[in-house]
Amino acid sequence: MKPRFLNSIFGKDRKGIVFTLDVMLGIMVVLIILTFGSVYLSLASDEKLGQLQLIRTGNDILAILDYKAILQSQNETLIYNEMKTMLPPNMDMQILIEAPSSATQTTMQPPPKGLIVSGSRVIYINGNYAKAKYLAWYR
Amino acid sequence: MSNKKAQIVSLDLTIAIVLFSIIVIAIIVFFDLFLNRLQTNLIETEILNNAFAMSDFLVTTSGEPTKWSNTSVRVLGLADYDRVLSEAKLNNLSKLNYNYTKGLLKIDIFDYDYSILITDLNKTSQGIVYSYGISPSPSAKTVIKIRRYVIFKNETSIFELDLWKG
Repeated sequence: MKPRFLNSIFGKDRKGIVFTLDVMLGIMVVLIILTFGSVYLSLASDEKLGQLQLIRTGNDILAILDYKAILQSQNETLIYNEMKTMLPPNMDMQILIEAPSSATQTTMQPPPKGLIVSGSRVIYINGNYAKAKYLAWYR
Repeated sequence: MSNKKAQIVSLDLTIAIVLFSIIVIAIIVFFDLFLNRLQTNLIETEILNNAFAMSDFLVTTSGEPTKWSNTSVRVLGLADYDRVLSEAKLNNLSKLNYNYTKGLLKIDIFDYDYSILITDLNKTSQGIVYSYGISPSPSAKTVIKIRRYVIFKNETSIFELDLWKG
């Protein structure tokens, strides 16, 4: 005769294991949710700071180039060189100026993937309003 | 025979209690970790939003009145124009009491501290042209560093704002 406790594991009294399995699955789900939640929270915080900093840097550079009347020159090389002196080493940026009769764009191209932010500023060129736009991203 | 049965039940119970305890402890530890992360995240987000808002109005607005002095200031703003800082306003800021400026910036209610550092972009070392406030202490729990580009004394400069909570 098989002892009763063995029956509970291998024998006819296996109902108990269903409840145990149920509890184990429930606990695993809770632990997985808590772990993913913690990881997501720390990643989301880092990403938010990086994104906001990128936007502010792009806007600042555009404003300074406007103040120095470099955007108004519509000289692609001059804009690019001046922009490069300000850009942090881990960041790149593309500037596009859309005037009524012309368009200027710096050569740097954004990557196909990853975080890219954009912004724009209305500027005044030769008596007309124009739009200066930027795309900024981390290298 | 009956004694052996009791031993099995006892062993079974012990194993169950140990397993249950391990699981309960694991859940408590994970939940505590999760709550800590959540709280840290909330505090960081709050300081982050305040730091960006503060840097925005310091470098883009002129304050109130527009040409404020250390006796007439109602709202702090350090710019003459958008991203062009006024030397006179920065000198006036230096004359103001630090705790009073915290009140003007509305950060005293959050118990934050701050420091402002302006460095010349073209000088790689010792390019500090202005500093004000209290730098973050090594024991500070949360420090947010914001870096803005400005024009100061006709030079492109970096305006660094550290907002922190001890």
